[in-house]
Amino acid sequence: MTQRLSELLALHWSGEISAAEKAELDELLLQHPGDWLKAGMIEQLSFQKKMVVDDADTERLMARVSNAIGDEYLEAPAVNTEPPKRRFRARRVLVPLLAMICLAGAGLGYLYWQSSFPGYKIVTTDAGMKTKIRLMDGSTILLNAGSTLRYPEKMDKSVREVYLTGEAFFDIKHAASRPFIIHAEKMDVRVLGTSFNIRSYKEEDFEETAVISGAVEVRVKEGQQVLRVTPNEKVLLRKATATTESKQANYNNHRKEQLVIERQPLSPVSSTDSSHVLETAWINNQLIFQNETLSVLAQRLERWYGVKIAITDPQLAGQRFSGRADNVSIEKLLNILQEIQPFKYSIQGDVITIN
Amino acid sequence: MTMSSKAADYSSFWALGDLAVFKQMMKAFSPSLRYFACSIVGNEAEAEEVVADVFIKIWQQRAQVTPPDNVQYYLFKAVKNTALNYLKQNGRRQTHLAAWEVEVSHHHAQNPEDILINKEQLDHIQAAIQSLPPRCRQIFILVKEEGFSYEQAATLLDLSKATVNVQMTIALKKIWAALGPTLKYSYS
Repeated sequence: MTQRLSELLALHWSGEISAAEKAELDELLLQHPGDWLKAGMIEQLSFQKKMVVDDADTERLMARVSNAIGDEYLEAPAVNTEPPKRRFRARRVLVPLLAMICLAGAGLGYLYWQSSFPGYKIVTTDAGMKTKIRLMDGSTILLNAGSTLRYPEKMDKSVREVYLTGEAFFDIKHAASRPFIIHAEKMDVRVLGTSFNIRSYKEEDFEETAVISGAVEVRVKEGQQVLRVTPNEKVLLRKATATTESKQANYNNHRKEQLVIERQPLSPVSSTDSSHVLETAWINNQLIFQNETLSVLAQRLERWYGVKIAITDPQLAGQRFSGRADNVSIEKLLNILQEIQPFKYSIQGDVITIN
Repeated sequence: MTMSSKAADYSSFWALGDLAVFKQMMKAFSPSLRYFACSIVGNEAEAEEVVADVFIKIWQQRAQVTPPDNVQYYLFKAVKNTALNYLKQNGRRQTHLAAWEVEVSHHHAQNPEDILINKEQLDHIQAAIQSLPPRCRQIFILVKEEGFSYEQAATLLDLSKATVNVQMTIALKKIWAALGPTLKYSYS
């Protein structure tokens, strides 16, 4: 083999050969059939570094990186769950009461669903109710009004899985070998042990996971994106339907639902206590609204007080309100709102008309 | 397998800080990066530290970094820079190259017209690669196994493209010789 031939072959072999050089190479090989055969053999070879590094080395390296970036999934135990626990203790009296009230509703829901999901328990809260569910592993789930939680009667050994519509606060017992997965409408939330709030009401145009302690993994079902959410952070999925805002989209008959994924910090209720955040204020019976339109707020009030609200004035429905109400009656709350923006209302049974 | 995971789409890591994708990326690239780091710093323990540092920095700066076009090349360059800094901090010069071993095999899919390479020939080729000078073997691995261009390999090793070309020709010649004399049967 000539020097030129080996040079050309090396270029070809490395994918660096130009068209002119390739023509020269072909010409040379044509003249030497033996070389041509050998060149063909070399093309068939593939090379791989011998794995001196094994999987354990890679695992160790990944664990090292995970430790440094504060990712607790690989081994670190769940971090402090103090703030939510304190809140639960204060509510020790209220919660059982609420749970008892809910029992009737939950039982109904259970009966209704039992046929479609054998092997599962289903707890449903009506408007104006909350209920606390304690799972076999010691995890607790506080279910907000108008929500449903479905969970297996017998939890699997390798994975704990539940299904949620509506809103709930989860305080999950750490078990590294048994991840806990919450399936919501647009996302699956995967955790090992931590506390966080998930809000996923069908009638609302967003879905969110807000983390209080530990860390969770949110898997957006559409597109299979996985996001890691750390304490004091939330992931918000906006269900943006291409309607009025985008005339062009309407024109083309694009009515496909789009998901907008956002990361946001949690919103502290007061500037002095950062552990008390808007996202979990409902646990303490605090109704907090920030820059919400009356129509959106009305949806929450319907769930919160178990009433029906009709707003007859569309302009009023779009008015925005901010405020806070701790354990007040619906009349009192409406009176507060009236001070912000004057309107009239009438109550007939559990139907409230605002005009 | 290795190739497909290296060519996978890691864009959602840069766009959204997708942790699972970040982990896939670590898993796919860290063995190769470890070898490469080792060829600069000279030992396994420090190589691991260098590669871990690169990934930690990438995670921390994920929001500021423009997503690279070629993730593999980007990671190799980051490892090179980190490793060289590491040597500088420790007041050392690049001493010796890690002994990278290379395994030779057939392409998996064989055409019927492919000429079979027998076990003996494979062993010879294996031995030939093993006997390549360290620098030559390092270039050979970057080009043939990692699939880098001459240009990229040259940048990663602070060499000229011409040097890469020369070294690759040497490697080819060795393998050529290891294949033995041309086929013994004759055309009739």
